[in-house]
Amino acid sequence: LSRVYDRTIEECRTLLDSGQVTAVELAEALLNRIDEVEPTYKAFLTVEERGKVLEVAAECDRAIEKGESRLLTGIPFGIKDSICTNGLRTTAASKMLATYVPPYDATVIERLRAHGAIIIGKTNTDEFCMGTTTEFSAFYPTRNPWDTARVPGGSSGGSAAAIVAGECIGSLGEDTGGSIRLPSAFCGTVGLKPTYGRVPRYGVIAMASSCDQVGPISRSVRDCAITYNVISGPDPMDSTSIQDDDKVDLDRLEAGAEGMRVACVPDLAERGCSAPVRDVYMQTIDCFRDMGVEVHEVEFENIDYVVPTYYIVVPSEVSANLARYDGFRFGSEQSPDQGELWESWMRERGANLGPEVKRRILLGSFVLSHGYYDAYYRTAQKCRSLLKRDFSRIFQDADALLFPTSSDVAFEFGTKLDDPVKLYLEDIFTASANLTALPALTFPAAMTDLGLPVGLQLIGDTKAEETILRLARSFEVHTGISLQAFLAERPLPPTPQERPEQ
Amino acid sequence: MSAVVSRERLLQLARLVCIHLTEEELDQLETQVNDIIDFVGQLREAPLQDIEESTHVGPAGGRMRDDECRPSLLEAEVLANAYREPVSGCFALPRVLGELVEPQGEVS
Repeated sequence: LSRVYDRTIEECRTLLDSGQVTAVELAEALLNRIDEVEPTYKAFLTVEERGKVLEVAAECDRAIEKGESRLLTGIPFGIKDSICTNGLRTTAASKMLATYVPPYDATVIERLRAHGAIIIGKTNTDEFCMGTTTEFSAFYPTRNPWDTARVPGGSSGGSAAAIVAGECIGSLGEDTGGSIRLPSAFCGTVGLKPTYGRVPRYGVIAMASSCDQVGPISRSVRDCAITYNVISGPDPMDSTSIQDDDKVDLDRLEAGAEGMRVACVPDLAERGCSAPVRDVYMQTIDCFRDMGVEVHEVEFENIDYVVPTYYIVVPSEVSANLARYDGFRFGSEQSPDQGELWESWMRERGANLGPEVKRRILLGSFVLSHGYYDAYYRTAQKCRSLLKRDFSRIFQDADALLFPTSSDVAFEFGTKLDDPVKLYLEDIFTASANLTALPALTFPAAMTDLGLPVGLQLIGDTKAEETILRLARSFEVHTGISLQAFLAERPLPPTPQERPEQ
Repeated sequence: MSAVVSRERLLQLARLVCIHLTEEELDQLETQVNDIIDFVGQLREAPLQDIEESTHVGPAGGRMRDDECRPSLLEAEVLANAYREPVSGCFALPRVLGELVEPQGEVS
C-alpha cells in the first residue's frame, strides 16, 4: 500500500482489522516517513525508540488477530510535549525540563494506551505552550509543511505539522488561548478545544489552569470525534472535570445540518481579517445556507476586550504555575549546583526560561501585586463574565457561532517576533472560548491560490461538542473540503531527503 | 504615556519571581512590559457596571473527592529527576540555614 501514513484513523482501522496492513507495517511506514521528512519539518522533539514502537505494534497485531481490536489499536499518535508520558522525555519545549522523564502517564495518555494507541513521539510547541508560532520553542521552530518558510501556528504546531506531513495518524494538542485551533487553521487540520472540564488535565504541564484544555488535532472531523471520545470523561484526578460522560455519537454526525442555526459576524471579519480569510468566511456563510442552515448576523459586542483580558488572566496564572521550576526537582539543562539557594534559583530560572515565559511571569506578578490587583486582575475577571454574557445572548438564537480562527493565513518566520502585542492579537478570535470555557472547533474551509489552508471556527454552547462537530462534518461532506482532499489535489513540496514517488 | 513599570520596579519583580535578567533583557522587557500594560489598560473602558467577577468559568466548578488512600508514585520514581543525589528520601538543596543571603540592589 502506498502512502499508508497519509490515511485517517478510520481508514487505518479498516486496513488493520481486515489484515491489509499490520500494525508493525503501519508503525514502520510512519517511522520511515519521520526519518525522511523530520530533518525538514522538525515537528517532533522526541521520537520514541524504533524497537519500543515496534514492540507495542507487535502486541497490537496479536490483539487484532485474536479479535480484540479496540478503537485505536495500532494507531500511531504524536503527542504535544506538554503532556506527560511515562518513561518518554517530556520537555514542554523548555530547557528547564530538557532531561525530564515523567514517572507517570497523563490521564489522556492512559486512555489512549487503554484503547490501543501507539505513542510514536512528542511534538514541538512554544515553550510551556506560550506562543502562536513554535518560534518560542527552546529547541527549534517547526516548519509549516505547505511552505517551509512559514510558521505552522502554535503552540501545538508540531502536532498539526506532523499530521499534515504524514508523521502520525492521530495527535493531541493542548489549547489555552488558541493553541490547538491556530496551528490547525495554518496547516489544514481539524482541531477541537473541548468544553473546559471535558478532558482531564491530570499530567498536563500547567500553563494557565483555568483555560488549559487538551484536544485532538486530526485529519478529518470523524477522526477528531473518535479521539475526543477516547480522551474525554470524568477523572477523579482533576477536580474541575465534568461528571457526566456524554460521548459524541458518530452516526448523528452524518445527520446533516438542515435546520441548524448558526450566528455569524461579517462586520468583524471585514474589520479584522485579511482578504483571503474574509473571502473564505463569506463564501462559507453562503455554503452553510446552501446546506439548509439558518444563518443570521450577530454583534459580538465586547470582542475588543478579549485579548487584554486574556493577557491579564493568563500571565497571572503562569506566574503562579511556573514557580515550581527551581532546577532541583526536574531535569534541566544548566547546573544549578553552585552557591546559595537563592542565587541558584535566580541563575537557574534566568538561564533556562525563555523570553516569552519570562515576560509572562513578570507581567503576571505585576498585575497581581499590591495596588494593581483591582485595576488589572479583578477587572479582567469581570470581563470574563461580560464575555460569557455576550455568548449567552448569541446562543439564545443559535446552535453555534461561525468565527474566523485567525486573521490571516500562515505568516513567514520572524514576522511578529519583536512585537509581543502584535503577536498576542493573533489570539483575538480564539481566546474568547478559553476565557468562557466553551467548546470550539477549527475545520479547513479552503486552500488559497498560494497553497495555504484557511481554517474557520465554530464555537458552541457549553458541552455542545457534538453540535459543532456535526456542523463541520456536514460542511466536509457537502463541499468535499478536507486535509485529505488538499493533499490529493496538491501534494506537499518534496523534502530534500525524500525519495521521488515510485 | 509614562511607564507604569519602572526599571527599578522590574528589578524588584525579577527578584520576587527569582529570575536573573541580563542588562539586555532588562532593556527589552522595560519597553515590552510597559507596551503590554498599556495595551491591557483598555479594560478600563469596558462596560463593567453591575458585572460580577468570574471565579470559576467551567461548568463543573471545583469538586472534592473522598479522602481515601490510593496507590501513589514510588519515592524513587519521584526523585529520579532530581538534580542532586537525594538524601534520606528527600530532594537535596544548597544549605539555607546558617547564613542569610538575600540579594541586594543589583541582581546578580
